[in-house]
Amino acid sequence: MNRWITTTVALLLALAAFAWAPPRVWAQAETAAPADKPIKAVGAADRASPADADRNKGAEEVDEDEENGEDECEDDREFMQELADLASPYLVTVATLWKEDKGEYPGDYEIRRSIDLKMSTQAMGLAIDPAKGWILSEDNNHETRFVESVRGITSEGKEFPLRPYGFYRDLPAVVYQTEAWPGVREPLDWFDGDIALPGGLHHVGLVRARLGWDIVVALGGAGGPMARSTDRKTDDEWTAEAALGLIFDDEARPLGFTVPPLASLVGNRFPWRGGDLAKASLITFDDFANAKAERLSRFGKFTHEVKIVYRQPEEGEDNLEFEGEDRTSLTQYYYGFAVSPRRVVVPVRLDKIYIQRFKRITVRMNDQEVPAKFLGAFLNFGCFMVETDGAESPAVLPSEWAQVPDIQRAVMTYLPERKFGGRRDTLWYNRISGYKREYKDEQWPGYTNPLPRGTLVMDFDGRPIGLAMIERRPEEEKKGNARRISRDRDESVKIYRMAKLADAFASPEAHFDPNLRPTDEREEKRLVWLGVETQPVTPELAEMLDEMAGGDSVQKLTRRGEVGLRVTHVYTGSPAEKAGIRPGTVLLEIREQGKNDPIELKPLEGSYGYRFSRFRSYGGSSDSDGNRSNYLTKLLTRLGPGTKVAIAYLDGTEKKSQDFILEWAPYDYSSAAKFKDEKSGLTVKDLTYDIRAILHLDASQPGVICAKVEPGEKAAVAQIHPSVILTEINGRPIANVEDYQKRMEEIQGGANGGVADIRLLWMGKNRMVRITFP
Amino acid sequence: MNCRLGMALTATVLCLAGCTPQTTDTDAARIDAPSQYTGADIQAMIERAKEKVFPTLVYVKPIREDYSEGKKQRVVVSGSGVIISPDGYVVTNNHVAEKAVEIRCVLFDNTMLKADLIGTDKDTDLALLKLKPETPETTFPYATLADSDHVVEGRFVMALGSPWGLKRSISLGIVSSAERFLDEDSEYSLWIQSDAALNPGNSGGPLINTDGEVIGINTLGSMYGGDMGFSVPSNTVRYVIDELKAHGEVKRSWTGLRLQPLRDFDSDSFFEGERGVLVASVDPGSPAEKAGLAVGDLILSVNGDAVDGLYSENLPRIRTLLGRLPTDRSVDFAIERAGTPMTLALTASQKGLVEGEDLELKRWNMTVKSINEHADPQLYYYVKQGVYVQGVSYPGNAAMAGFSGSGEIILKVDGKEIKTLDDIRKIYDEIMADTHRKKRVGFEIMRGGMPSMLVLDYARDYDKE
Repeated sequence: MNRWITTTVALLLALAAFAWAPPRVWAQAETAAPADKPIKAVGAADRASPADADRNKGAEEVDEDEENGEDECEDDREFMQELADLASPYLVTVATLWKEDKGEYPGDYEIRRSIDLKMSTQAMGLAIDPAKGWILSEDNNHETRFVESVRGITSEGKEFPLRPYGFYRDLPAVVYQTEAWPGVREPLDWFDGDIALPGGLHHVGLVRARLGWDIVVALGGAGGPMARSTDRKTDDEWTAEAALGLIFDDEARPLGFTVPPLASLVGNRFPWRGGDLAKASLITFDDFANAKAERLSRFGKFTHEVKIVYRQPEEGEDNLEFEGEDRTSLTQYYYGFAVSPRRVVVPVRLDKIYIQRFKRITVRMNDQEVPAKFLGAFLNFGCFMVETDGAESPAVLPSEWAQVPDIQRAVMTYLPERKFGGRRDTLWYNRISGYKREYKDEQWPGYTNPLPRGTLVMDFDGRPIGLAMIERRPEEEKKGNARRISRDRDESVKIYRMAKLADAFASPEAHFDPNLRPTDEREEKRLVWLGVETQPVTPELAEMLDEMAGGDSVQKLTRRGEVGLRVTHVYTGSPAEKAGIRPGTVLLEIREQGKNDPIELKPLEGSYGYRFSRFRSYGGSSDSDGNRSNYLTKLLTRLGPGTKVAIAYLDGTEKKSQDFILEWAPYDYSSAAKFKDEKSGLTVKDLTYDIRAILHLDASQPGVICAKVEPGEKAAVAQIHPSVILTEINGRPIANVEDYQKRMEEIQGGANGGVADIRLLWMGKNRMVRITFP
Repeated sequence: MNCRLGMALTATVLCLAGCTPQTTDTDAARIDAPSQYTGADIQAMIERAKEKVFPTLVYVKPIREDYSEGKKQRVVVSGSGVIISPDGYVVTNNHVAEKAVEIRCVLFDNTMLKADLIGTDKDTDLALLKLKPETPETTFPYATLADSDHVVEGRFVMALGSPWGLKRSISLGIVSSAERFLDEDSEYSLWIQSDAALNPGNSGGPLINTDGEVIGINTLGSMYGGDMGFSVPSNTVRYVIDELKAHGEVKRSWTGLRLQPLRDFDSDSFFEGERGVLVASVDPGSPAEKAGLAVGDLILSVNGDAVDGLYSENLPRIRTLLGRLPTDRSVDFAIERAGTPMTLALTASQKGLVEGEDLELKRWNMTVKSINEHADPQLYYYVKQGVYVQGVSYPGNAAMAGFSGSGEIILKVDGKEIKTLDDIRKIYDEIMADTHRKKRVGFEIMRGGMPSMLVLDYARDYDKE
């Protein structure tokens, strides 16, 4: 048995380290001390690594050992050496060179970097079956199609080729196989007998060091790593220092192995004894590939492409942003699963405005595009449901589910996606890496590789375990704190268990978000209102208002201008008016019924001067663009109509509170009924309440307002400009847009000789124009 | 003063630094010009005309009190003028002489004299000055006003003045149009358009014919370097000057009517009929409304005089007629409403001021103006009696408070209603006199039809900085 002994660099103070340095990959470390330098044996507590700081908390007793250490050192050192010698023939490193496949990268950033830099990633390996040429290694979970080549290097520096062979179902390890194993012939002589936990376990593994890899021996005992992990109450992940390696007992018998990311051995959560390996279920990559076609066909029967055509945004409106290769198109493709013959769930989270702009939905079923309608979007997770008009899916999601397996178990993942102009299904596997306690104290399983939203997680028999979807937090969304559309592999993707979803899918109506539904342009722009225009309370204004009213209630309640919106105008007939809110009232906060925390009205920076209505009279106003997205309006609209709220405000010097049930605002300039009179080149809108307020028009003032004039057309020639009100046609008042349309169409069809005498009103002055139609 | 004519043209006021006149003979004999000219004749004709009028040309240099930048400041402006009487009355433009605190004139023979502002008429952009010679008996060479109704397109004309403040200059052109209607500037008068070069500084100077008579006062030019100049016709000048001499102002009547022609080429609107003029608008509360006139009525005669508003060019005459109606009794308007003839009795009212007064609120770094129905129709629409912010200075207290100086109407100051300039002047004085109060004022304003509150902090004295 050859061995190279070097001492570690002072950084790794504590442990004796045996490093080997196969010439091609690592530089050979020179020894700073003679070979027989005493090897200090300690538990991991003495290691200088900061990552160990937490772990060291439970290991104070080690120090006592240290004090007694001198005497025991010699024995320990010898023992450690013996263990290292036993283990090293079976310890190898595995270097994988990666590649793109069909223009795709694997998901992991590290791997992508390796592809770009043309370097290999390193992993640790254990020769568990020299005869078969099997090397056990940690499972990085990447699709084998991205593997260019794999190479193994023994502790003696001998290289040999490897190929990915298979993955274990119940432990986080893969097997690489070689035909040219150059190392030791005899397999490890595993000890299968009973052992007493904790204590008495020793670990020999490979650890990345500065210049390469070190064989690190960690002795057990009270402070040993194995013992310590059994003290843990929760399942934690092993850190990067956790080495792949062998576990020996006090008699230097190999008991088993460890594979990162490892958790505790308590309760025998997964196989780790040497003997277990033979019994462990290994799925070869070949078998997996062979089963792929059949599986894809089977799953494909309940998986459908849902094509959504979005409504074109109007001029001056926000375009929707899409990702992926279709990002500039208004036609987007999603993939969903049939939960019933006609109902398909699409596990995608879309912001409200996207759903509002759904124009046409079709589902590809049985090779045909069939029309479908939107049923609803779920309140608590990013998913929506559509229903076909009559076509039925050949299969539905299997109703027999599987439970989320234990950690480190493999699950099968199925992800239909749109790629390269068509549908691509990815079938692979993943592993539960652990659980995280999250929002509302729920526990969600984490996965070795983050799963993109839309992934169906199943067991290897094809029974669904869960769906990966983006979590929605309606409360946060209401407050406006929610993030916008998350990217695919966001942390907010969670695997929702089928058990939890069954109810929601079977009776979805109770689980839908009532605020998310397709609307037409006018409804999309509809806002929820109180019926006020406001200005933010600044510290100066707060002071001034207090001076005027006497006292200090304004400054106190607004915290010197930190919160508060001062009402400047109350619209007639509005909820505010009915509640007695008048100009000068300072709105303070809104509390949703049933919620503890009120939402303080703190207008954001830059909302100064923004108005509710987008209407701005031509040439008149010096205001900013009259943005209708002022803070209060946005907030109320997010809360949604029908929401019961209590609004606290300051009226004079009195603080008051009133209950409201939020309601839709009447149509305003942006959502007003409109008509584009093509023949005149004129777009007219109804005189909505906000226009009437800004222009100080009577409620009885008839007419429609010019919103847009096409250059060069008849209306432009007649010098009609936006903001002008058209009050009469041929001597009779214009009631509204509908009336305008009807009468203009009559005239354009020949009535009155094709002559329209239009009376215009602007800022109190009238004018008449005559437009004649051929 | 910018004005819009038609689609592409923008005329602008010409008013700039002056020049130094030269000495010539001041003999003002009339010369009859022959109607047929040869080249040498033309040269001689020009010479003679010039000789007649050059001595009457004045370089006018007023010092104006300007309120537009948020502070009352004096600006030196200059233009031209022409002496029209031996006792030294000078005609120039309103936009040259308005709001002048001092006017200096340089005459043809380099005499520099101060002049008094006798009166101005904003509607026709004319002003009357009177020279103040050392000896009151001094007589001046003067020009005569011709009958501008006899101006004919194609005739030679000359413009005299001080373009860009350069020494008195003369330019030659022909009459391009004898009756030009300019959309925003033809309330009571049409224009004489010529291609004699007009530049800033020419404002107020005379446009003369080959007889050496003044046929117009040069007022507007074209911004785009074209040879298009516009002069107020001498007949208008004559009327206005007489009024200014007699009353210091031009008293006009107001009916509250807005008219539109039967044939409007600009908006491509052609209505039936050959006679009469259309009522486009009736101001609320106006004499026309009280008389019962309505939009769409066809006015056939006013006080017995037939009115014909076939084209835009006809409107100034009708408006002038309306502007001269008596205000102490009613006159008959014969109209046609939807084909039915009717007669309505209308009593016109005084037009009154056509521009609000200015006030500087020094410590607040802003200037305000009273809202005037004619000058500020869009503000008047919202507030009939009020005050608005016409300018704020940067840096300044008003600017910091959020005033933009483009038309905020001040509704209340410190809780007190503001209706007139006196109201705000009083409050300003009271506040500034109160040394114990916090240096902060609350304003209630209206902007774009909507009310709001602004807080002005005047602790900083920007004047001192």
